[in-house]
Amino acid sequence: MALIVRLDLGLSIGKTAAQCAHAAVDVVQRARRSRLLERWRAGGARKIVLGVENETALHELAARVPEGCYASVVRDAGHTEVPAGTVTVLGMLGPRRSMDALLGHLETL
Amino acid sequence: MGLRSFLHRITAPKPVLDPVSTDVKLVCVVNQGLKMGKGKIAAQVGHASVEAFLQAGASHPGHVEVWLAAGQKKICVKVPDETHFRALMEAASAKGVPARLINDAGHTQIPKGSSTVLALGPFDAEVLDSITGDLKLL
Repeated sequence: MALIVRLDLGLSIGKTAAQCAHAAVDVVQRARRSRLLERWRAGGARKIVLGVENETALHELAARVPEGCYASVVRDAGHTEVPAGTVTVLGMLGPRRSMDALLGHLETL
Repeated sequence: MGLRSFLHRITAPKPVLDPVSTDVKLVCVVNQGLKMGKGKIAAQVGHASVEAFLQAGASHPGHVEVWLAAGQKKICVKVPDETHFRALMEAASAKGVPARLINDAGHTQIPKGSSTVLALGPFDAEVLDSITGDLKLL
């Protein structure tokens, strides 16, 4: 699973963690009862947190999510730090090869 | 759907959901003693949240339903080291709060087996505040 965070918002550590957690739970919900989810959990539920420069770049990635992957774009409820509806994180679960092809150029957070 | 399962569905008693207040949240307590980076913390909190969500989905389905419907309210707080987890887990257990301690696989940054995050909930916010209300925000 990859959690791709917008870097231009300057989110705090706590906020980043909460938004990533939200994305992870959303993706798991979407992937429920899939073999992919079973395999991922059995393999230790590996996750990587990556950064993306802004909202446009995040949406470009979201539009190119490969077939067979599960993805979710998180919008913040706006209780703290950023206005309501702000896109913060893209979560994605998929086979390693297709994820690497899409995300290989991003830096880890 | 076969006839028999259809009949079962319309005649079976509805599962009893655990009684729930409307204010439900998940608290992730991060071990600050490990000096984890931002990405590492985010991944560990993500891991804890997924595990807490799946575990409580079986043990506290009513709480999880309310939690998801209300936007997955969650909060990240910190403790200075791993020793604080024990008291928090005992308090959670005494009050019937689901708890999930995450031990890292040790692939990166920290030694294998270190406890990184304790997830408490999803559960009534009021009860959680009585356990973690004194802890500082991350």
